[in-house]
This record gives sequence, C-alpha cells and structure tokens, in this order.
Amino acid sequence: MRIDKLAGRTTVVLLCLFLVAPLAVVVATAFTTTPYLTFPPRGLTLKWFDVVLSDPSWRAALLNSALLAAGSTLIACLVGTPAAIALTKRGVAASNLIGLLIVAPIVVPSIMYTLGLMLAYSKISFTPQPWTLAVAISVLATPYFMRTLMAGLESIDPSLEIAAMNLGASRLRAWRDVVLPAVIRSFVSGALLAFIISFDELIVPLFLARPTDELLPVRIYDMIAYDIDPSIAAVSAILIVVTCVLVVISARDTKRAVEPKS
Amino acid sequence: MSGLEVAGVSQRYGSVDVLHDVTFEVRKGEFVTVLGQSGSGKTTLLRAIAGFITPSAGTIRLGDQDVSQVPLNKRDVGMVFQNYALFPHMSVRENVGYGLKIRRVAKDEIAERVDTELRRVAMLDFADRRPSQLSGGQQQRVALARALVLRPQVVLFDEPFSSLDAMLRVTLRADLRELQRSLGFTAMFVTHDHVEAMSMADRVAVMHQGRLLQIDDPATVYRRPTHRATAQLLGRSNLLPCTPRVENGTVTVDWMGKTLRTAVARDTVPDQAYAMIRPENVTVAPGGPSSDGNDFTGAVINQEYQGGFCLLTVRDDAGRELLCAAPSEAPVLSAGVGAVVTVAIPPSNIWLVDD
Repeated sequence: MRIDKLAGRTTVVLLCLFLVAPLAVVVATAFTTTPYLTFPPRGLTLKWFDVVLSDPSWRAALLNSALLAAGSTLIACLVGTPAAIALTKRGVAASNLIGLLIVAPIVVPSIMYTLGLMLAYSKISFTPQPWTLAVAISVLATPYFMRTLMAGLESIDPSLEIAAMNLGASRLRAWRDVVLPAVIRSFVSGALLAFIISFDELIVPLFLARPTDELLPVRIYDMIAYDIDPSIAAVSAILIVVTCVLVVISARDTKRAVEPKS
Repeated sequence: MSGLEVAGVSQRYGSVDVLHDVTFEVRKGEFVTVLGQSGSGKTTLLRAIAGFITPSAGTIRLGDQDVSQVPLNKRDVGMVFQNYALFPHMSVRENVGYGLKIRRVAKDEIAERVDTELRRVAMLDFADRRPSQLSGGQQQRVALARALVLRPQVVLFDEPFSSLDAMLRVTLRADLRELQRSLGFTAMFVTHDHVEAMSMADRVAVMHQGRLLQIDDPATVYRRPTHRATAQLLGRSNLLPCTPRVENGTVTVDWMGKTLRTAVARDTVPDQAYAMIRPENVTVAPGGPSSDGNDFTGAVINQEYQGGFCLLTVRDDAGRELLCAAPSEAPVLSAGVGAVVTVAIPPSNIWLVDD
C-alpha cells in the first residue's frame, strides 16, 4: 500500500474514532450499576433506562420536544420549500442577498438571536406559547432544510421539467411528477436535519419556554447543572439510537427512490 | 402542405440578437437539419418552435395553425434532447407512457402503444429497466420512442447524438432517417456536425450569428454556398480572396495577381469576393504547368493522410496557398513534401462567394 493511501486511511479511522468515541462512552455509561456517571461502566444494568422510561416527566419532555421539533420542521418545510425553489431559479432579483439572509441565523450567535427575540416578543406583547417557540426555532432550522433542498434542486437537470411539459404536462404537474420525485430525498434529509436541529436546540427554549413546558434539552441541561446521574446517559443513549435508526431509514428510502423496483 | 413555418422570428436577450429575423418553411414529412456553431442560435430556434421560449417577434405555424401564443404543453411538437432528459425515477415503460398518461389515455391502450413504440426502436426487452441501467444509445432510443408515441406533427432533435461515440452515431442516423420516412413526421434536427447535417437532411439550414444564411439541399449548400461562413461550416475549403470581373457573361477572378476562369454566370460582381474551391474538386499532378492555364503550380508543403485520400497544401513563390485532395494511391503523393506539383482547377469547380 502506498504511503499516502495509508496516511489517508489512518486519518479517516482517527476521525471516525474522534467522532464516535464520545458517543460510545455515553452509551456505555448508561449501563453502569453505580449511582453516578463513570467510564468504563461498572457492572451491567438496564435500571437507568427503566428510570427514564417510567418517569412521566422524562416521557413528557421527550414528547414535548418531539412535538416542538415536528412543528418547527413543518414551518421550515412550508417556508423553505417555495423559497428554495425561487432561489434556485435563475433571474430572481437579489437572490444572493436573500440567500445570505436566510443563512444568517446560523451565523448569528444563538444567544444574541434569542435576546433579540425576547425583546421583540415583549415589544409586540407575545406571551411565550408553544407555537411562538416553534416559530423561533424554525428560523434556526430553516437554513439547514433549505441548503439541503437547494443542493438537491440544483442537481436536477432543468430539461427534465421542460421534457415533461413538452409531453403535455402543466407546470405544476411536471413539478409533481418529475421534479418532486427527484428532490424527495433531499427534501426528506433536509426535513430530518431540521427536525434534529430543532429537537436539539437548547438556548432558545432556555429563554423563551414557559417553566411548565418540559423540554428534553432543557431538562438534560438542568440535570447536568443540579443533579447528575446515569439516567442522563440513558436518555442520551436512547436519542443516539433513535437518530441512527432515522438516518438508516432515510438512507434506505433514498436508495429505493433511485434504484429500480425489481 | 407546410409542416412548419417560421416567419420573421427574432429573439433578443438584452442587447444581444440571438435570433435575427429567421424565416423558412419545412414541408410536411421533410427532414431538415439545422447546422451551426454553438452560439449560432440554432438551439434557441428549436426552443422557440417547441414553445420553451416566446420569441420577441415573429410567428410560428404548425400545419395551418399559428402556435406563437400556444403554451409549450399544448403544442403538438415532439422533442428529443441532447442529454435524453429521461425521467430517472421512472422505468423505460413509464417514461414512454408518460405523455399518454397525461392525456388520460386508457391503461390498456397506453400499454399497447408503449409496447409498439418500444418494439419500433428495439427497446422492448428493456421496458422495465431504469434509464440509469441503459447505455447512451439505448437511452436515446427510449427518448425517441417517448416523443414518437404521441405522434406529433413535428419532432425536434437537439443534437441528440452528440454525446455518443462515432460508430454508433452513424448507425443511429440511418435508423432515424428510415424511421422518419416510414412514419412520415416532419423533423428538424439541430447539429454542429456538418457530416451529420448533410447525410441526414432533405435540406440543410445554415445558422450563423443568429441569422439563417441558407437553406438548401445538401449538395447545394456544400457546392454553392451563399456565404463564407456556410462554406467553412460544411467542411474544409479554399476561400481565396479575389477581385472578380465579368467577361462574356461568366466571372473571371484575380487571385493575388493570378487569373482563374470560372463557370459562374453573373451580370454583376462586387469589388472584392472569395473564390471557393473544395479540395477534392481539383486534380494534382507532378511537374510544371499544363497548357490549359486554369491551374496553379507550387511546392507541397504539407501532407495529411486521411484514409481514402490525402490532403496536400501547395504553396507557390508568391505565397499563394491551396489545399488539395488527392486519392491515397495517386503517384503524386510518393514525391513527398517539397515536390513541385501542378493543380488543375476546372472552371466549373470554382464558386464565387460574395460575403
């Protein structure tokens, strides 16, 4: 094996280790029998999973966070899809500037954005509600959704839409029959990304959620700050597994969409 | 009866004239190729006919109907794209049946017509495959079937063979022409390959800088071009800058002090023009000039072997140069580079190009 190839592979392996190792540590820690976090885990127990799953407040937090993320993802899709389509069409005025503005929430420090939101919401007398929170978070999730969808839209051969219309399809029909199936994978992965970003957001709910809205990231944050035990590791392990499953499903869908049925 | 009529079509993008007052007519069942370099406006013309763009001026008629204002999805025009534009997530069968499905044709009939069309292009065995599982040539045949299944009055081809290899291209040309003759549709085929343009066409339309320079049968555009650009587009030729004059009704040209008689019959000529001589229309022989006088003597400065023939560049002391073709077995070739040769130019093989 050539030396540069070896070096390349070593880098890849090290990178994977670097990315995966912390996750593996968290998952392993969840099985410890000790009442505190320790690695390597001592003994082997499912106790912490039981603690988490039978605790109504953890379950409520999980459900609330999922609902919030779903709402935020929905908004991101509703706003982001037409925007992405418009921005990938040539000849839209100031499309560069608009594109930049849409990505801006990623660049602006989250805490500044939240502070701005607090001031703005109080100015227009918005009391914190689940939907105001979803709107606030969707602003952060939309750029991820849009960038992914736009990458998909840009990779589509523009003559496909024209070909469909040449065969008699209306613009809408051509879009539905030809463009949509081709972008559905980037749509799904964009939405998934938006969901994960929304689910995971801590700063915005920390400031804008009502104390009664139990949300998972906030709960984990509070626990780490005030009363840490291995149930946190168990929650994390569950999240990691669920995320992996989602990614695998979306990858399989992608494959099915591209490859033949038989 | 007219299959397609384009009248005064112009297309401007900002200050650029992409199409300038293009007018021509294609007879029903005729096969017209549109030849031009990239940027000549040939693809824009095709797009205007298909309705992808609405030209700034002019009208387009299909049969007896003015379709200038008809949206592209209501025009009875088939299109075969350069990159095939097959729908990647649909099978071959679904691709070909798409237009019929849009037209709400009954399922049984769709299946039947799709099969017939796929059999016609010898792709029935691949009906359940995806486009990505087919070769370029196979994809192009599917694209053709997809256009033909709707039986459009006019089928437009946008350089459909340009990404295929040379051998396959030659076969597909003949196949397409045979298919077009048997089905009788009107065809317009855009290409930048002059051999392709001439070998398929009833008539060749030559586009240059947004203008239609000439539309004629292949022999006429090749032998009797109206413009220098046409002569150059249709293969290698000598375009000798010359001063023409009329003598007894035929034209004689002065090429850098050398007089050549032509068979061009004209009453008036411009001050400056170009004498066009195709390399294969001259005869090269070793040695000095003959008595005829309509010839050119010089030394061979370059030989390019082409297979069936050889191209020779002949230059004389005055710096005049002529590109000539000689059969590969011609004795003159064995003399090699540097040999003095005489090129006989029959007056009937010189054509005068004004511009």
